[in-house]
Amino acid sequence: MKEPWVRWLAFAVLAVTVLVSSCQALAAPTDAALPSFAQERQDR
Amino acid sequence: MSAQRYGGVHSPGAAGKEARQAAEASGERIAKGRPSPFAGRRAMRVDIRSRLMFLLPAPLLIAAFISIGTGNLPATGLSLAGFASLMFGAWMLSEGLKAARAYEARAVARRPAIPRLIFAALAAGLGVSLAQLAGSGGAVAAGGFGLIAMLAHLAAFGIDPLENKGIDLSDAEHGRVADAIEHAERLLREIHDDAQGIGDHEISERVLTLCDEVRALLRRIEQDPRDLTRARRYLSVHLVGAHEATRKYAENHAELDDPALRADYLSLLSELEGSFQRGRDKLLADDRTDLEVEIEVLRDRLGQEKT
Repeated sequence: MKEPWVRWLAFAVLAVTVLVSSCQALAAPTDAALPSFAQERQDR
Repeated sequence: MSAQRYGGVHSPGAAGKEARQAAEASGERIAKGRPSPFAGRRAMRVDIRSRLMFLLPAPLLIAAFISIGTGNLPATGLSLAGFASLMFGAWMLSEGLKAARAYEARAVARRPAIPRLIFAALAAGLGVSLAQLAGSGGAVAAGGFGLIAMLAHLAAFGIDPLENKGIDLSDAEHGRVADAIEHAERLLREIHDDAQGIGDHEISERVLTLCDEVRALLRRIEQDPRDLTRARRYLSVHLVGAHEATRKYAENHAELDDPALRADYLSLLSELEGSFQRGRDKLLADDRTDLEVEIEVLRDRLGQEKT
């Protein structure tokens, strides 16, 4: 488990998980604040 | 008025040489005679991945502010708690990596008292779970992504050293050696921090050189713990003295603003540096004497066996 590529791959998974979770949390209140945008997105 | 060719102490050619000779004659310190200020020092390692862990949760903070604006209390709480957990994890990670590097650099070391890297992984997992809940994800998604984040963290950054390194630290004498070295390292860190706070480049450089000398002595003691008894004077009197002097100078230099005081302090640093260097040389000489005695005894025994 000490190979650098394994560590970098694991870090990439971690970074994407943290970033996507944070962005999802950011999208939720934005949808609540701007219902028209949320509706538009759903329509699409 | 005639033009004069430019040439300084470090310029190549005759002009430089003359200038160097003139500087030597006037007693000015020449760079050539001094050891490099970076000799024997490790380059500071900056792990870009651990720094990124401070940046990645930024959207969560913005989400918390927007939730405050919309009056959504549960989402605000979850976003803020997730952000705090991820930032705590990033801080723990950074401290854990520092502790792991210090452990690697030493021949004798106790395992870190707090398993920081494991705490960092747990905090990252919790932070991701909370972020998922704030983003209206279900409990299963929150648990699942939290677990993925925790496992990825452990695979990316590893876990803390869990065992003592080097000599048998359960032995009382060896334990004393480890304690003495840890105490000395702590004093060195405080001396370094105080010196940096003074904001004087020359003092910072001289203190760094002094710290290098002391660390070289500590490495010798690690290699042969019997040296602790011989070096106790340096660690208990000289190092504590350097610590006290640096602390007092750092506290008072701005108010007193006395060049004579600065010169005295610099001179003390030089004396201490010389003293630690002599201490290390003495330990080396003692080791040589021990080895010579052992060789002599072995030769005598071999001689007796022949006859």
